[in-house]
Amino acid sequence: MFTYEWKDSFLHRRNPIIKLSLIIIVTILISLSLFPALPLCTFLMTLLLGCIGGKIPIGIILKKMRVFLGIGIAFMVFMLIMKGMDGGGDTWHIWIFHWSSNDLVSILSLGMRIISISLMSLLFVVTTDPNDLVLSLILQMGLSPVHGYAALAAYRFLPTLQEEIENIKLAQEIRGIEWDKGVLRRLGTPLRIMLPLLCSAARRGERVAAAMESRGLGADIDRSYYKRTQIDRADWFFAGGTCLIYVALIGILIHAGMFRFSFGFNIK
Amino acid sequence: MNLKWKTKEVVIVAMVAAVVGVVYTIMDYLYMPLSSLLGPVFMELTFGIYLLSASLPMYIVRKPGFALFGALVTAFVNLLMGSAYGIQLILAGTLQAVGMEIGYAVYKRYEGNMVNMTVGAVLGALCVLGRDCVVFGYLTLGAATFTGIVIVRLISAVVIGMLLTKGITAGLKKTGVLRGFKCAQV
Amino acid sequence: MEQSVHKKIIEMEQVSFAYDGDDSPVWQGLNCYFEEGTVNLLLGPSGCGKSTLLYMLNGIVPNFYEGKAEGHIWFRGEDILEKKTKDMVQYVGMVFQNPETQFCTFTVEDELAFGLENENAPRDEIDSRIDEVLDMVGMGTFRKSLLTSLSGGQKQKIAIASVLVMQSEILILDEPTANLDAVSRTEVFSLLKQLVDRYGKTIILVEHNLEQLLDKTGHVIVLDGQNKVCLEGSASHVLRNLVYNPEFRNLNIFLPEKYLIVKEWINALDRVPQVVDFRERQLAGRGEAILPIDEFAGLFQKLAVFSSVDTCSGTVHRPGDKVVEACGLGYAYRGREDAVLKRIDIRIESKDFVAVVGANGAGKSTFLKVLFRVLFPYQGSLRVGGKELDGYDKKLLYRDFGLVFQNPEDQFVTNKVYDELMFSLKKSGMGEAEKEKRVTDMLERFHLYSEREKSPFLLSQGQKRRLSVAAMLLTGQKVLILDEPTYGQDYDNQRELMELMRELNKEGVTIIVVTHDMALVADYADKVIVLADGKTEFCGPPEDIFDNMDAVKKGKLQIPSSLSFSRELRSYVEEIPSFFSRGRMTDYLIRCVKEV
Ligand SMILES: Nc1ncnc2c1ncn2[C@@H]1O[C@H](COP(=O)(O)OP(=O)(O)OP(=O)(O)O)[C@@H](O)[C@H]1O
Ligand SMILES: Nc1ncnc2c1ncn2[C@@H]1O[C@H](COP(=O)(O)OP(=O)(O)OP(=O)(O)O)[C@@H](O)[C@H]1O
Ligand SMILES: [Mg+2]
Ligand SMILES: [Mg+2]
Repeated sequence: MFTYEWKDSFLHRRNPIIKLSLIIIVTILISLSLFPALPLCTFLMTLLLGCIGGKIPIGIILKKMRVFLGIGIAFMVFMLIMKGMDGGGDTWHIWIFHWSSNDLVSILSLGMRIISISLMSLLFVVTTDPNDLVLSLILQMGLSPVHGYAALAAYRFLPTLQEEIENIKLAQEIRGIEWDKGVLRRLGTPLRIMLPLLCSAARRGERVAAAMESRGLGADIDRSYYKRTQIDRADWFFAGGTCLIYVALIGILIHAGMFRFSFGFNIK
Repeated sequence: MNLKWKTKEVVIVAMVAAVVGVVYTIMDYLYMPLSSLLGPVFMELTFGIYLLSASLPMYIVRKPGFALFGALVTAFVNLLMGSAYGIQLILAGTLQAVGMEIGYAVYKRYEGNMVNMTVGAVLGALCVLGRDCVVFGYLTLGAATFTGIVIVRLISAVVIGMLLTKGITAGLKKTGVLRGFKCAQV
Repeated sequence: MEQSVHKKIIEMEQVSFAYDGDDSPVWQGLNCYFEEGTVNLLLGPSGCGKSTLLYMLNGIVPNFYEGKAEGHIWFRGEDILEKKTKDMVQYVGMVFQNPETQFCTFTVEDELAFGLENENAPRDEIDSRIDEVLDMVGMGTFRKSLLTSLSGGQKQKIAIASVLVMQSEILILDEPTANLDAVSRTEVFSLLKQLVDRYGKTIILVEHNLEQLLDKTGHVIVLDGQNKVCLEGSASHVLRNLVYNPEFRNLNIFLPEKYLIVKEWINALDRVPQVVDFRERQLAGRGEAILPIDEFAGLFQKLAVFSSVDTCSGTVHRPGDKVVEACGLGYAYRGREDAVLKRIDIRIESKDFVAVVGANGAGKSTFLKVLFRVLFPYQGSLRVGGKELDGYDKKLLYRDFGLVFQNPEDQFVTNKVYDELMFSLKKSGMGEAEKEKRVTDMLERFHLYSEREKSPFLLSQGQKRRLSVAAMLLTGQKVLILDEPTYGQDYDNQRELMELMRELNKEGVTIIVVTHDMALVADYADKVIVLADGKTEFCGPPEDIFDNMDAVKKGKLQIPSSLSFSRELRSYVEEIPSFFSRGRMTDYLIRCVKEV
């Protein structure tokens, strides 16, 4: 799990909405890429951006990425097995598994895709103050303040949630409901905490809503903002720059024969 | 029909959605090893649970927009807590919420009956399937696997999704928080 | 009746209210008023509807908690009952019971700005008002702090500030000090006093802990628990009646200790003509002190026959088996530099009645969590029943150890009050009829019988607390640990809870209570552990702790006021020894006279 870490860096100062939109654009682009070159470039560029623009040491980024690297690899292995059994082409084979080169390429780009998407998400979370995210959703995206602050209150509630889960588990154990018994029960664990957790969350929501309204949220007058987020020139440069880089990159890759659009169904 | 949003509804839905987001994060980690063991067809069984982020808020409040709001809060929380699926979640959340919104908006508007729920669940499941095809290349898996996935996912969305939604709402109702909500009035 | 110098600001006229789904109304034809520019105090037994009344004043009831409201609440010629919460911000600000649940942002600054933003205040004004308000509550240096990094008392002050900043005329507080240590409580009370004296605010509050509050209060309203106002007026008028008027003898309300002692003394000796005379004189008296010490001491000296006091309390304690033994125990939360528990050395023997005290954030709850293996790994050694906790089977641990959480809501596992108690008996192997009887007994004992069909989550604060404690007291575990079991309780319920614990203790159950209430410690505990800054500052019998001023100061403790009262009496009547315990002092005073 990763959380926002306060720092003063180029990346930290960027408007959350801009960051989010860029991530979405890039996600779409690399999802449409047949070959692994673009996801790989994205991965490397994001890494670089995190180090230089976000002032986060590369070691720390990679450490936080451990789990996701693992997941990406697990996913690739799984796809290898599934496709290998289908036996598309016969260029490569081990035991009962057969792959065509195309298979291997698309599996590799799938894995790279997952890894670079996770990396972007990670950078986003680490460099974005949730408060700013909500503010820019309200100010730049026209989200209503009630929704924005409701979401913020929910997010505020999360750290206590972990404690809450522990408390509920402990309370049930002490009162004689047993946990962690057998594989089946363990699988059901998320569901068993869910109901009490939802109840306490809803109760808390009720109280927060009362507190918010008793301080005037949602009254029919305009609202001012003490702190504001805005999209400034640097944000536009950042966005424009990123787009330019991608256009150029795709151009080069196409020229080098390493990029083709794929919509997920034109492989076979 | 009063479809105006109240602060209380919005905040409670946000809180509930946040919890759902946390549960998803835990599930993501719990089920990850399983999914590589048992394969995607089996894992599709859990789709009904993942549909909860859109169906629960909508079923509780029954006003337009709540599926989307709930699903987005869940997705953001899931993202901010460091789920493995990253930004994908926001896409998936939006898609299934759109399906759900359509299900409630078109026929028997916002009654929260079987028709609303089933149509919503099916549309939601199909929307997400579209994403899976593009991003995770499901279509390349071969016809048999793909059909299996679609069937299991639809069943899970309708049956498990509906059971969970109703069960959780009933549980919440008993604690009295949902007094004044539409789901508690019928 | 005495003439009040203050104007009425809010007047309730024939107000009735019933929550949706409840058959019986919380209020029926309620009439009372609140005075401008002073502290208005609302007293009454737990569950009588005090919080509900406060909610009605700013529209949370019936807009938020649905129900049926009737009557009028007049404020400046307008009926508040017809208004929406969000439109009343200029007039009424509400501070909810638990500050934690009312914050909606991350930092102090944002939290204070939140309300002003809703009022569409310009930036500069927000800036200056935040400064001003932080000065008012004395937290000027915390402007940029994260809310999560504040202590309980600080949070409470910020919660008050976040409402103050909106400059509403009336400030409503629901049990603002329920979870605070003595020092923070004093701070909050003097803050309130200052707000009234210096800034002319009107304050309406509910509070069970009146020790330092009554002399700051202007107007008091006493509710009798049968949805009626039974007494209303200036603080001294109300107090005089509560102490001396036989009509209010059985009213279930907490008074400061010295008044309770005198009240019980008078009640016990109501046949002695001099006592009756004294009582009536005081009841009629006006102007002077409510409890003239010299007069009381004189009367007591005239009546009393002094016997030698048995100073040793109860039986001599025989050392039993060690239940919990900590030696150099330490624990640090992950991601925090400094350890919360640094060096805890504790020894608890079986059949002990132990009180754990200490300031907010001293690490009391953390220690409990380590003991229950929620938090690990710990440093040092912690032995349970002679065995290191590391190797202890969790299931065995939970079979023998029961815990009542600081937050009662965490503990509810069923959807009905009745089922909640039945659940505790599930494994007891009793017959159905026996179980039912015990549950019904318990419900009646704790005044919960009329709520038995309700969801535990819909109870009042005090009722929730009682239910969670009662459920644990039924389970029959060998060691019971209770985190603040009595906060927010009225007099009767606190006594019932504590008496039940004492009974269990006599039957051999080890009881460990975490509390901020020193009077309770003095009355019931036979061992006190003071935690301060993650270390054990003191571990021994309660009588010794008040000689150890260092521990008292470090633990931010408050010496029970029965001590100062008994010392005061002693300056008139030499024979009276010093007492820490209200119960023992009352008994002694009564015994001296009875033996005439
Ligand atoms: N949301 C609710 N729904 C239904 N009943 C409620 C609700 N809140 C409180 N009650 C009931 O209304 C009565 C009054 O509750 P209230 O919280 O006003 O009491 P209180 O005087 O503040 O008590 P305490 O001192 O214990 O906090 C109680 O019997 C309680 O069970
Ligand atoms: N989950 C947590 N993570 C980090 N720090 C925590 C956590 N829980 C508590 N703390 C910190 O540990 C310290 C001790 O907290 P604890 O809850 O044990 O205090 P306490 O003695 O029970 O206080 P109170 O009387 O207010 O209940 C506090 O400074 C608190 O901020
Ligand atoms: Mg109350
Ligand atoms: Mg505590």
